[in-house]
Amino acid sequence: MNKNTLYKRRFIGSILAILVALTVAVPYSPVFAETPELSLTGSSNASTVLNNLNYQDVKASNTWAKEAIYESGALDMMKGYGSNTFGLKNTLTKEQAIALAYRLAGREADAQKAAETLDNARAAGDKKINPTSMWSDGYLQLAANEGLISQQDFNDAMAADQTSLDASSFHRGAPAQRQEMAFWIAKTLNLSPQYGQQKIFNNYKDWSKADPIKIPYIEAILQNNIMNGDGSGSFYPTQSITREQAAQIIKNASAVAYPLLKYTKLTGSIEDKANSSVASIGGNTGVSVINIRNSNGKLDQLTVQSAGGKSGINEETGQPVSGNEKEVVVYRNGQIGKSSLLKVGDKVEYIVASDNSVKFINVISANPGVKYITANIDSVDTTNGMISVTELYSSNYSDDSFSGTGPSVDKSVSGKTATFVYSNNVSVESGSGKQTITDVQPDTIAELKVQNGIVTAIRLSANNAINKETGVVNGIVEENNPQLGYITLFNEDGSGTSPEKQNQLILGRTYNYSTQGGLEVQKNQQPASIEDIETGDSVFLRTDEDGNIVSISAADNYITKYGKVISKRPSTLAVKFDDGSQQVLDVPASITVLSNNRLVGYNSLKDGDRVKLLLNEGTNITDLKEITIEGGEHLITNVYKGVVSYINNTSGNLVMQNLQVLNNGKWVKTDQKGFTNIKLSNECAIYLNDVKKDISSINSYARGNEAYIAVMKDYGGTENALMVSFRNTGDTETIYNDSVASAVPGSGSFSLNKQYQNISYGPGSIIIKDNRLVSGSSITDEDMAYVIANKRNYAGDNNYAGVVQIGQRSGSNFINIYRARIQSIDENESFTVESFSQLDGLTWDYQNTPKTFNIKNNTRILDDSGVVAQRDFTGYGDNSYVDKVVYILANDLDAVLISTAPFGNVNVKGDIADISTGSGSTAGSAGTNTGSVLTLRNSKVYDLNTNMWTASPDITVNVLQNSIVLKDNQIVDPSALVKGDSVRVIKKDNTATGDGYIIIVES
Amino acid sequence: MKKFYKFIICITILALFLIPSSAYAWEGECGYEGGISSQTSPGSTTGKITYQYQEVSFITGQPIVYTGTLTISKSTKQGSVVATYVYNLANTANKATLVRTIVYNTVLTQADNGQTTEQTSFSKTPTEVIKIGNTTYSLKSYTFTRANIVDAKPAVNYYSGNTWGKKTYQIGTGTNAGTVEVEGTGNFYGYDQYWGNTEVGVIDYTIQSDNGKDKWGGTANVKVTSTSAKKIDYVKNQPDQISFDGGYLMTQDNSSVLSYDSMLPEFDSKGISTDNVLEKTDSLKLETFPSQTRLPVVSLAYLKGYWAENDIKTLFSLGVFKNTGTKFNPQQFITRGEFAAAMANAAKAVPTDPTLAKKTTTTKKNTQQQVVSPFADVSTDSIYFTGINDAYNRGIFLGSDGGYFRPNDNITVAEAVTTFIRALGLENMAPQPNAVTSFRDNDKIPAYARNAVYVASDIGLVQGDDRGYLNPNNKLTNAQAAVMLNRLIQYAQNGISKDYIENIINY
Repeated sequence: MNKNTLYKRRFIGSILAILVALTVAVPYSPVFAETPELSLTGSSNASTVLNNLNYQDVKASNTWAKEAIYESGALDMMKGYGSNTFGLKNTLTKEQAIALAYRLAGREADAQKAAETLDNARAAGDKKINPTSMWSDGYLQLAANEGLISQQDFNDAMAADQTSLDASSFHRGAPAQRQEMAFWIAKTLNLSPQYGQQKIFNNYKDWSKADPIKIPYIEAILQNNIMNGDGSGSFYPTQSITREQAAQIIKNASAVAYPLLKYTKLTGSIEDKANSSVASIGGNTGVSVINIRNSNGKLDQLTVQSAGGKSGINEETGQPVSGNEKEVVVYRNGQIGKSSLLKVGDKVEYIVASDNSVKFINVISANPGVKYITANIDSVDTTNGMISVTELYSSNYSDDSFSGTGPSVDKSVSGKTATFVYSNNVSVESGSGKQTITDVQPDTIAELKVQNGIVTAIRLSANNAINKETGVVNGIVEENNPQLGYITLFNEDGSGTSPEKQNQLILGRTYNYSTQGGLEVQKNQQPASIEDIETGDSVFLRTDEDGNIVSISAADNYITKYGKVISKRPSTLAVKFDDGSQQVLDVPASITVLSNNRLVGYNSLKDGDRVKLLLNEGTNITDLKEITIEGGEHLITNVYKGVVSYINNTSGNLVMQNLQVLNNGKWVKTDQKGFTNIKLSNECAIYLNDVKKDISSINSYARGNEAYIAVMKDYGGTENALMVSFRNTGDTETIYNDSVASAVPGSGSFSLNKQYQNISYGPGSIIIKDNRLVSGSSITDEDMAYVIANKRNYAGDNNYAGVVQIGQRSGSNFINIYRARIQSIDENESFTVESFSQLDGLTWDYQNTPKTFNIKNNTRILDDSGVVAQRDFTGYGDNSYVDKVVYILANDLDAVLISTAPFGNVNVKGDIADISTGSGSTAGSAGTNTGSVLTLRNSKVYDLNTNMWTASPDITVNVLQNSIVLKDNQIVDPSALVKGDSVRVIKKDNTATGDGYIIIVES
Repeated sequence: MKKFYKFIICITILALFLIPSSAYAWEGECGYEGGISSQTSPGSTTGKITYQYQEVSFITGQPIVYTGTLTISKSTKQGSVVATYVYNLANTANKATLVRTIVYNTVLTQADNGQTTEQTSFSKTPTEVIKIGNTTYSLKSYTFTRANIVDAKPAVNYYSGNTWGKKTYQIGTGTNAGTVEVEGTGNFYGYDQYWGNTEVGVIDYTIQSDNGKDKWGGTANVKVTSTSAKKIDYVKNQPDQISFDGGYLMTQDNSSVLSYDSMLPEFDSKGISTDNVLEKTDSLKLETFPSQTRLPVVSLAYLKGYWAENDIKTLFSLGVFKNTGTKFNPQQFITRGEFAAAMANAAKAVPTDPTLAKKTTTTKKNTQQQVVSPFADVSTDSIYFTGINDAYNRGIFLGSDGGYFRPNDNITVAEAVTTFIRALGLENMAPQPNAVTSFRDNDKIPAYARNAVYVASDIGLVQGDDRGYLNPNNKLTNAQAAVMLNRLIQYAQNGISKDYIENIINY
């Protein structure tokens, strides 16, 4: 909402206040004492105009354009055919349309001058005799001069024999098209063409059928509401226009055109009518003074004069010529006439010329027939807005003596039941003050004010009314503006989004905050500030006797939506909701982000995360209030490759042959041989050649093909397929372990650093980042990735990514490994070592200084039989740890793990080929074995003398109870080691067997 | 004065008992001990039912998963239900067994507004013995209370309740034996309806163990969901030379998920607790093999390729639309009568638990019953009478003034949406006093329907056109009605469960 409207709203608000004050004051103050703002008169040609407007065809019809026809006629803009016929359905010709466009802009005189110049240039025999035709030439000349039509069009129009023109020529008598009309009016009214995005016109289905040159002008016409579509989304640019439509177009253009014509359109209501008569020649002249209360609350006084007496005698007929009439043309309820049609209470729109003469008065709402019915209330249906009553008596006037106690009702006798619709803002009053419709109780007597069949007011007796406080208003916030100090509510029935109703809200549902201070605000039952009240909130307002808000209580109406993060940016979040729709949301700086019932930062949110969003959805804006990240249950756990045998439709299982799992950029055979079932998750997407397919087409066309499968963990420990992507069997697969050199979102490809390869991706590429399935746009520069690329076996084809697996970056809390002798222990607090060695890459760095490590709640201690309680980590007794040499894993100075495993300084490495969980230990074991033995293939031993890795036969490593296992820089349980892991092991010696003291998984 | 056309019809109630009760999950099938069961039972639906069952116990300081069977038998008497739960569980890896018998007594009280409150307590002293290796944990005392409230809506029963229980186990048998105390506080929510049901529960446990030598405490959070949903898939026939193209297959899936998150002390190599607390998270899942039903195939070959072909065929197969003898015309505006009859079948009444159903004598007996139409303009002879009567009795349609239903009038979008939300009983999801919808023609929506439209749009039952208009006062064609009704059925099948499961388990 821009500032202008805000200002307007406030402005109207203050007018309203004045109006209210005035309506109260007026009955007690003499009307004549007030000086009118405008003194208006009638026009002398009113009778002539009325005569011309006496269209028989319009009278007989019930055209919607009646008001427009009379208004444009009264203002001399559109004339009839002279035979009291308007020609409602006749089409408007091009020349008429042009003439109309110029008249609308008040350019009639210019046209006549142009016509004269044109005619003067003509040879005597060619001169036009018919003035209409001559003037029409003038309009066409103007049109050609000013670019409404081309010179060629003008030449065509001037051709004497119009029948000789071909179809593509400009026939002045041909029907004008709607787009032409729009173009011409926009030109003559000097509307600025709207270039660029045509916001309104593009919404019409047939906008593309319009002449492109005219589109910016049509948009301007639509923006000014001069022309509209058919209400169902079509504009029909090439259709013709009937004369009744033309009249309506003129009326619609009045806001723009009338200032050019020096007409002012005012609104007001007839407050008073006083008739008197003044003696004049040959009789009396009736004079009426009509007081109009204008919309500014001021008085406009219109004096009309009837044609009494005579002003002279007609020189031809000898008949008396009527006196100086000063009358107005009035349109009321489908009828036209003079000021006598006006009634006190009418709401009118009056068009005033520059000489303060009134050209036309349109009665917008006539004072409707009001009936007062005293009745017994039978039932009130608030859902449908209906009230059912048994009538007792009715009258045209309110019953002053109404007390609410009627004659006892014998419904079966009186019997006259009726059901009325009651108005949305029905006023309910009782002797004790204002009430609401819910206070109208069955079987009480009430007086209903029925206006045009609708109950607009209900009067209850004081006895029957609910005794309650007044001034409490309920609704949903349309706009809250604490700066300007007002709040606007939607109507109680939830309406108020259409332009007409919006205007009503500004008047009827806008409340000002009390400026007296002490405004009490609460939201969701908590004290709040006025800024916390948002669009869409349900609010209760308590107003003081001046109608200003003194207290406000609100509750939000946020809604929950589930979706997946497509792209996270510092201040925006693109989300795909579960219903398939996508939205980009602004992220406020103070956004609350939750995960596992804990407050985490916005930084914790990653592309591909499933989220629950709390939103405040207004009619045209959505505010993000809170983000909850789904618990880790649905992260991608593995990527498989294998031959798809078929999909079992009933059980939803993918039956796979020769399954391999991706581990550190290598395909490793799974334990299970032959066939494996993988269950498809509900949201699983299956791609074949980058196109999403359903199960039945896979079973028909893709059996026996290889596919990549991304799986997530399901409840109960099983894995479910989240995405299946088939590869072309003929393609060559290459695996890159590289970092991304450059990735431009939306380009559909990225390049690698080391290999200088450009890799393209598509919807069928499985892209995993931080263990989440993401789209290609989430790949960023410097990402470390394993890329499984496929290349067609012919030249020129790009590498196409089947799988992109982007690893996690190292966390900030880096763990250091020390080897040291314990000097002293301060229980539960810290321990100090005499001196220490720190593992730096492959060697131990000795530092001859003491160092103190903190003992934390989660500091674990392992000895050769396993876990030791922290309370047993003491410096006294038989099991004293003082003087023991231990490994210390510390995060800064906080000890995370203390292990008594023996010292080793030999590094070996290899890939885990097998993990046996057989009992006992292999040769050379010194400690208590956990029972698991790792077999390393591609083994190498680091030679401390040559500083080189030298090849070794397969190495078997025993995992001890106090062996330290590190994976992704985290201390993990030995069970987290899997086949295919590349590990570095710190051992005692370089033999092919023995215990592993520290096992580090390398990526 | 209202006039009723009275008819007397003979109906046999015999037929009602011949309908086979399909597999269905009932409240309480997972018990109240924080476990999950397979829900459905092959064979008998009355008397004793034995389910597969799993639960996790934390009393040793380690989460131990027990699997086995749960046998439930129920009987009703005068507003209360007595249910006996017998658990027979084991964990072979830990050489552990768990045997438990609990008899619950649930008192049902109907409130003035139609809601039912349930109050559950023990009607006998419960017994439980857990053996792990050589150690025995036997239940010394158990205090338990459960309170539930059931809100019955025309097509859905919603419930929400709380449990609280405190168990004290005695370790071993000696006089100086230690104890383990487990206190659990739970909330549960669920709904029952024809197309599926869901129950979710969250229990927070605190465990206090003192065996005389070692004292420790721990916490555990257990989340349980069980869902059962029917889904409908089109199955195409493989051979070409067959009298029908294919048909619809209704599959009912039952699945239960238990996920837990425990914070228990780490034990040292001697089995004594340490100060280090370990967090352990895991989940269990029990699924029963889906039961399938082939739906009858209705010949509507002339609709091949029509926009709403699938929706219309599905509704005919499900019997929501019925063959009336006249050719179904998708463009024809649907009448209120036709729509009410379809609604009565799409938003079917909530089935009742057969184990709770009152035993009725099955003697063949013709009962003369006077059937009176509630509406002056709906004859009991009308083919839509049953549907209209059912929809009216359950409160899906309220009927208009003066006892007229106007069965031959057309129904508007706004009216139809209102019946949907009324059937689901979700009117209260809308903001008060009246919602403002985001449709561009919000102001054209009749005031009475605005809240319903808001809710329906929120839960995805209605969408605007491409330009954001709802056109609430347009008459509904048969085809549009089919699309909307099928969307309602799909929502009932899986849309509603999403909110329950995702909200509780995943976040």
